[in-house]
Amino acid sequence: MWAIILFPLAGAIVNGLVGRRIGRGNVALVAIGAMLGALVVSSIAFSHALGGTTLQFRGEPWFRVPGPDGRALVSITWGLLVDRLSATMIMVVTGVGTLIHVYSTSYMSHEDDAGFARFFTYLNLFVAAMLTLVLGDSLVLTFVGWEGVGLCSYLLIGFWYTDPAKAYAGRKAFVTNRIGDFGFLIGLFALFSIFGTSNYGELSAAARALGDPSQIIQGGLFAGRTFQWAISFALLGLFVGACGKSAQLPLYVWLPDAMAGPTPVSALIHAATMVTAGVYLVARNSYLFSLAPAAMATVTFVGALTALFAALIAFVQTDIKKVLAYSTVSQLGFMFIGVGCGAWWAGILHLVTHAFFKGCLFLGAGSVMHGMGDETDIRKMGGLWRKMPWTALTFGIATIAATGIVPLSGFWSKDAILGSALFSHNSAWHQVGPIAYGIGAVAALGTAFYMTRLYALTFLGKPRTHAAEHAHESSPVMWVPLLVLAVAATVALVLALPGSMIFEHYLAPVFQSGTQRLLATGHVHAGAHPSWPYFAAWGIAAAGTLVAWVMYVGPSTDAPVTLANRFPRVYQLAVDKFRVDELYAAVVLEPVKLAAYLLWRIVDVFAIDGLLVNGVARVVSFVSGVVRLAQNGDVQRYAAIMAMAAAVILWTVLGAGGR
Amino acid sequence: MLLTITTFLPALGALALVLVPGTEARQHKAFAFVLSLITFFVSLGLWFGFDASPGAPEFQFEQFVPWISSLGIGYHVGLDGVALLLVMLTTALTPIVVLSTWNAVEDRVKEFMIALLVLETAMIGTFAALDLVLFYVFWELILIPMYLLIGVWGSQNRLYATVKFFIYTFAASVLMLLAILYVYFHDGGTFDYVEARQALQVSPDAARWLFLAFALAFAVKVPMFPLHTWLPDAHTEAPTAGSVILAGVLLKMGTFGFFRYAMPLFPEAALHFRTLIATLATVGIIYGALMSLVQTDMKRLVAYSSVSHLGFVMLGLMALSAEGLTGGVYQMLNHGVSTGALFLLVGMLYERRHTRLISEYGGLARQVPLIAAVFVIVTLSSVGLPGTNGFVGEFLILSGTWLSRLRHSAVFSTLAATGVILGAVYMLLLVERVFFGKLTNDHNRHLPDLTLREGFVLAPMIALIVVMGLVPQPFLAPAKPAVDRLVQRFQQVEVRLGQGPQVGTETTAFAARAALPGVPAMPAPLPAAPAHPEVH
Repeated sequence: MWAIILFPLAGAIVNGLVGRRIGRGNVALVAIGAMLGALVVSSIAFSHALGGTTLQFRGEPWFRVPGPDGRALVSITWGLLVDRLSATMIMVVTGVGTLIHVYSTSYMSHEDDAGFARFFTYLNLFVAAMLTLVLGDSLVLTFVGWEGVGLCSYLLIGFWYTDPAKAYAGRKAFVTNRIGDFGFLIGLFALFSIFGTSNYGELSAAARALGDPSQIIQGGLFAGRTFQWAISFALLGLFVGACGKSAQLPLYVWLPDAMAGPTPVSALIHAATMVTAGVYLVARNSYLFSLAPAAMATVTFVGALTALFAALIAFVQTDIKKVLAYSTVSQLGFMFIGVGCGAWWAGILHLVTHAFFKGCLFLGAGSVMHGMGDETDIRKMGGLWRKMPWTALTFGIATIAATGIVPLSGFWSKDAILGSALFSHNSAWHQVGPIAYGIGAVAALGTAFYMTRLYALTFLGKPRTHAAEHAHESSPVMWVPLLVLAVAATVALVLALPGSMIFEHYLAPVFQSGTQRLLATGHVHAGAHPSWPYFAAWGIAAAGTLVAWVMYVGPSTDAPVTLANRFPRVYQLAVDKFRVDELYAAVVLEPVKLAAYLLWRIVDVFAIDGLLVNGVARVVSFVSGVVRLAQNGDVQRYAAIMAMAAAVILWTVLGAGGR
Repeated sequence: MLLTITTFLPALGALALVLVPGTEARQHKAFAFVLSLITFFVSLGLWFGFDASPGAPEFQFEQFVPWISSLGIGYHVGLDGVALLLVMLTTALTPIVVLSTWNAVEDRVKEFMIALLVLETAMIGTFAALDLVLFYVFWELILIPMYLLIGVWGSQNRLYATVKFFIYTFAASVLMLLAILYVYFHDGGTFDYVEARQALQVSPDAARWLFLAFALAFAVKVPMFPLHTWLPDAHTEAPTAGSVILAGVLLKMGTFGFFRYAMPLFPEAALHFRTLIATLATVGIIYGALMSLVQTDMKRLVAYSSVSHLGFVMLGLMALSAEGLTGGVYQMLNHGVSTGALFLLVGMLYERRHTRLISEYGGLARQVPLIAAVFVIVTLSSVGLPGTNGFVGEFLILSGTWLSRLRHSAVFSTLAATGVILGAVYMLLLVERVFFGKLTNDHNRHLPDLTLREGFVLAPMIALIVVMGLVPQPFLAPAKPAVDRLVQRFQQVEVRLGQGPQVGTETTAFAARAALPGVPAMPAPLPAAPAHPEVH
């Protein structure tokens, strides 16, 4: 099973060491060969999972520190686990990954040899890390992949490092993710304290064996708290990690800036795979989340807020990649609503369909940029469907899928999420499901609006600039992967047709213990839901599309300008992304920098060095200076001092005697 | 005997160098390099000869020769696993350091090499000594060559830095000498460490004062907040070789001192001051990281990052759990490798541009891609990315602290973990300012990339970073007996004090493994090939 990971890793090592010398054809061959190898092995593993078997590989120990009594809490092995959840994920990663590798050979062809090799090294390394994240059989191995994908993301966002803004975007992504990783570590340690293991198999068995979660813990770090409290604490830590990686409020700020990277990177890392790691993490620990309704409520609510918030920003962005980035943030919010309200399969299904349609959208955007000479401003496009028919077609299909219009896949997965949210019943916060449904419905309206707007401005109407008139279609190496993804986005609808519930049944064994616990606590209900939310959601999507159509294609095309003029402040605030970056800079970054500087000047330079170290030295030299006055070898002064001393002694003695 | 040979081989070499005429600079370098390399190969005998099994003697390669028998001072040396690791670090770093000075030192090469070799002997001796006076002699002997390295071959402000370094460490060591003398006069007249540890009977109050005297000497060396201000000056002014030795080995003498002397000799006192030291360590982690954030001088930045990293080590030691202690030991090695490599890299940039100011650089990655790549790898190790050595150390320390019985352990661990975030901030900021962006400074336009010699200097460091990250077990295993003995020693004290358990890890709230009859115990390992998956 390690072969799945070792293929891309080997590709990265070969290309990293000798890539700049073997020529770009061989670099591409190595990189794509590695991906194909991983894809083939993944498919074998997937077929086993499909057949109902769970593959486990108990790896060699990595590090293990037993105490004097032989008990080892920290005992980490290189073990892997392929169940239906991780099998699904590796198929997405290697499948979409292979397509994007192929696409990149054309997209990155303008790079010099060294840059070309570097790009594929990072890309292969990313896939290896992502597969480790997904396949690892313990939270620690997942964390290894988790940080590994963060590193590759950093390297790839800052791929064109000579541009300071891009290098900065890379660092911003890494540091923001590190804040999330901090939460991940705390959650991991807390689970160590509760269960004494980080292995998924052992954790889930323990969760099953734990009878009543409201028992009071007797010993250890959490003594005096209930299991529910302790597990909620740990899971909230993990969720902070998920918020960092999956760009949720309040840690989403890095993802829009991450668009500085090459577009295939945005498609692979910042849409299809890496950013969904947080959703995977929550789903992977479903058995624990089912014990902690408060944590589930938090996940649901944060997801809902993010879905709406990002959609609002996406309304007014004019950069094609930025629109898609905020759309990704918003869609990830939907996935979190799903996994937060207990519909884990729906969250994962949306993850899969999103990987297809958003990957397609990003690659389409890359194709547009390629044809337009790296232009990203949609106001300067228009009418591109004539010039780039394949791109326009696939982008259109993916847009419809994203919008959630029947019958493409996005509709089914998104509405499965919203429907489940509405009918869930969280015991920690009863209304969170319906609230999430409400917010999510508005966000879905927003999605329909901004996606239609994006498509209309880019492909429909008349060319608005010279560049748009002379745009050209990209090579088949680029549009064939688009077509494959568009087809996948269409076909994926089969997975979630109401009535068949293929995907739900398929994933049921993975989430079995979590679902059972939720059924027992009345969090979810068995049986089919009423179907009216589906129709409502469809109506919402159609309404959003219609409004956008009217405003950007149809009769009242001057409406956007009128609206912007009527509410200039709101408009400006949205264009400025609600000034969250500025807020963070003012509240966190600048104070930390200032505090560090002041501490340095006051504590180190002034107090310790100035007063204590050099101060002591100065006191010593001052005292010695004073003492030196008495020993300067001047005989007359010695005599004077002797005389004065004699007088003092005499006076003292006589004064004492006289009394 | 092997240990004694390893210890004194460099000093013998230094003696031989005295006899070589002073004009042939290249010969001196070559001689010192070969000699330090031989020392390394000899020390490999220690590495492979060491027995880390539970039944093995605590100190191995032991040798005892009476020295001043009327005072009970003997030449007594021996290694436990922790000392072995640090000796190996020393012998491995020295040839690398000699090689790195090939072009950097042109002035008084002979004296420089003599100082370096004497320093090596003193460092190995410090780790090997099992007699308190012998330890003190080696400990102070280090000051002389180090004083000279900074004072003679340093940069502009070297006199201030070297005097500060000397006074700081010397003043604190004198207190340690007093404490050693107190132990001698109080305890049937032995300076022997092993005997003293067995027989020492002092009142709790006296033990606290003695602990503080030892701890102060060690804390200055570590250096712990707020005794750290000599370090940035010393690092900044020292030549590259001095910085590498200083960061790589010298600072570990402080943490080693805690592990070997202060804690096992006075365990009750150590428990008493545990929270205080852990607090200072945590403050050091965050404070050092914040300081690194605002530095404009590369070496000063790396020096402050050492304060942060050594804070992790001290926190791990104070956790008094097997995980924390082992992590602390591991982090000592990591810091030697990673920060040593960082100083080597900064030194290489300095040789090319003769400035340490970050603002003088920028956009170097296109000019010197290999240096940039190595710098990024070392940076990743420094910020503790999984797959590098730094992760194993930091993970063990943070988890070991979290799981330990230190009061408020979770708070300590959480605060220390913020150091991991800040570490990423200042290191990546450094990388970005030096290597990324546009190359604007014309002086940087024609910098040569890594030479073959520099490649040989850095290759072992990179190899260690990766190997220690992926296969840490061979480096963890030697430390285990020493760590276990220390934990057990504290457990005895804890029984004697009768205030409940204070060391080791806390029991888990829910015994996952014990309570699961249904879970099969460790299924057989599957072959790596996926063609034969086992049904579970």
